Amino acid sequence: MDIIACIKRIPDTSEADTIKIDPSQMSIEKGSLVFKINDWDEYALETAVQLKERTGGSLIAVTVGPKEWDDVLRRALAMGADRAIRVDQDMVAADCHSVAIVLAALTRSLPYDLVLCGAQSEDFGCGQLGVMVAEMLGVPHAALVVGLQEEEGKVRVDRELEAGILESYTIELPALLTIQTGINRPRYISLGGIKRAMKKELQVMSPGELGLTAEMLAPQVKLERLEFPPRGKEAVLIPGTPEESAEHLASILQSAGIF
Amino acid sequence: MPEILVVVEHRKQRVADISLQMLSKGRQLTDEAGVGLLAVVIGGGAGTYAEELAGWADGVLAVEDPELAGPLAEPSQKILSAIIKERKPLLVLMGHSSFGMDLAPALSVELGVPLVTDCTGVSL
Amino acid sequence: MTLAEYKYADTIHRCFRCGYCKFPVNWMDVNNCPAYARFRMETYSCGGRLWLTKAWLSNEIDWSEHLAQILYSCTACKNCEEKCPLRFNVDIFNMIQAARAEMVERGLVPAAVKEFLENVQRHGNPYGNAREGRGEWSQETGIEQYQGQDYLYYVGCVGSYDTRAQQTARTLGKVLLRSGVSFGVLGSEENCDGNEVNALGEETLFEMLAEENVRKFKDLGVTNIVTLSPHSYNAFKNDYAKYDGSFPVLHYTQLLRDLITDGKLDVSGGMNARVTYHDPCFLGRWNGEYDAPRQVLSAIPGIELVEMEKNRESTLCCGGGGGNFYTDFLGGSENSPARIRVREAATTGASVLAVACPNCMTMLEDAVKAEGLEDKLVVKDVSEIVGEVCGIG
Repeated sequence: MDIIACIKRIPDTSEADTIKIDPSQMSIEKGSLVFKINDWDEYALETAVQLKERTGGSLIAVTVGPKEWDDVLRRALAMGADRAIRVDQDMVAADCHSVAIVLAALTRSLPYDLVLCGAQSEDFGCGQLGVMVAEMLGVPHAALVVGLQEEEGKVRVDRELEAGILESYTIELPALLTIQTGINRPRYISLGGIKRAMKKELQVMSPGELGLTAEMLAPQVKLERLEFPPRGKEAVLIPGTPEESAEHLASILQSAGIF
Repeated sequence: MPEILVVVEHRKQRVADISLQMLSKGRQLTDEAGVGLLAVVIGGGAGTYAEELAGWADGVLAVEDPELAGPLAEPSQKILSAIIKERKPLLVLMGHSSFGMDLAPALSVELGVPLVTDCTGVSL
Repeated sequence: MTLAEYKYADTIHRCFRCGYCKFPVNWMDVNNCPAYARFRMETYSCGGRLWLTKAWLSNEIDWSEHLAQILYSCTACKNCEEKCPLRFNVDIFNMIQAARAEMVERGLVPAAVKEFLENVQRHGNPYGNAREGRGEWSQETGIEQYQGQDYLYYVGCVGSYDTRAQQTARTLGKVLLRSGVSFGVLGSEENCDGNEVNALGEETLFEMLAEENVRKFKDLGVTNIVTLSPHSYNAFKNDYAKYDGSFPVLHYTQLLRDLITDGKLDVSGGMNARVTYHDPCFLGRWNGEYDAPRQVLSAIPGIELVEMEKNRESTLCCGGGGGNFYTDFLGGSENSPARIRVREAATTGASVLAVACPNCMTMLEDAVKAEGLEDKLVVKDVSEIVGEVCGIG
């Protein structure tokens, strides 16, 4: 099975106190931030690598971003991608629709049975990209996939819905899936593995090479400003020994009708 | 009359909480703007929700399909795009749920309209 | 990698699981292997791990999460090396480390280990805390940035970020200031020493950290290093030479002993307490330093130093070594080694359990709380005891 995995580079904001909005209010201060593969995309990559290990075929990791984004492609190569392609365009300010146009154009130029994307990104969290690409490619899709089994010419997928319902479909290939976290356990990418992956091919393309113009990539949605959500007004610290505060907390939850 | 369209989700014979929240928000927006509120519900047993939804919306469109136990993205997309093309609403509200995330991005591409997801506030 | 390619292919089969690796020096029980003490299953003993490693590399068993957890439950305490009667005993931990390295290369490590290593890759510490916050512990202490002073005071990840261990780092800094030692810290420029990264089997990451640290130390003209943590001490003393970094390094207990001997640190104020001392593995069994901390404590008038049954070469590890202070494969039970250890400390009648390692500090202090011994036993770092004697908070 030939697979394309789409990945994104995002700031690691595990320590939320470190996030600061820059004076333009259009972005966050990135100076001291550390970057990594978007969490959901890492699950998508692991899904892709496992499928490739089971079925053979090729795995291409792709991204749309500036030069610094090569590092996430190197990690994808270390994880098991055969080659990687970066479309050289800074799309951070763009909307999902524009990025989807680039990814759809790139995907059309490559062999594929299955395109895998993360269900959403950790930074903007739109959850739009994969399904937009599917619509542009005219292939069937399933979003938020938590289980995947390959069959002849098709895949069987599980989606987890609200209220603990699991939905299963069989989708004919070629298809696009957006992958939910928890579908697998992404492997550790060792530094040695990254070094060895430096030998693998990492191709850089411009949007022009894909026949795309600036006009075609004009965003439909524009960011006006970024701000922190207003702080909640009611935080209660419950004092006392663990036993006392647990009892107090239980009575609060009980009176709120939670249990 | 211009209108705001709310796509109603239902599971286990209940209107989803997110849909009730959107109807409430939609009511507030339509009252402020003096436009109509249309609730659209799709799937097997869709008609059974009409009365409940009429309590919120100016109109209810129930698309009954006995083949569809629950709302599935692909057929729902076909139905919704037909309705939206015909009625040309100002705004369509859908839940940022597993159903909405499976459907809204494709619908927006098909219709060529912008999409904003995971909204926590809306004003006209 | 297959068994034939494994560096210890010629020796690993020689372990016939006699079980000596589980005993302390005086044979008092079979619980001196921390993982075995916790789980009481042969698979979790040192011999069990060696047999499992051999079976895995010979494709007799498949990798599983459980297998990985068993291999990573070893705290690198080296009790096994102390007790194993066979000649290959010097390589026992190396065998485990090499097996872990293979898991790392295949990407097959437990989630907590992955998190630990990714955090070090990105942030230079296992907690995933921001690099720029690494020096915050020293604010308003008068401790200077390193700029060619006699000693580089290297604090390490635990002392830099763990709230409790930060107190220790501050107190030691103030004690050194009081003694007139010329020293400085790297603050937010400090990076992980890599000792645990190495123990977890991430050889290339360790290599990168060691090379970066050696380069930084040389650029800054570092001549002597004093460490808060025995883990950092071990890495600098034994592993950095390979990366062209042979810096004279002291564990702080050695420096404090010398300062007291030379009359530069006055501990005559004394302290009336019965104190028992817990040997950190990376100071004791790994580096043979059992005396310096005891000499510091014995120099303080009024301190009655009593020994636990398991001491020196027989010390029972706190369970925090080999990254376990973070990955915690041995936690959550009354048989967790830290809890066994504080119960043992309590039976000596000591009111103070002295430690000389920030990892032991956090592990044992939590265990005192879990055992409800707060009224009887207080965990204090040797530097904190000295600080108290000198009237430093």
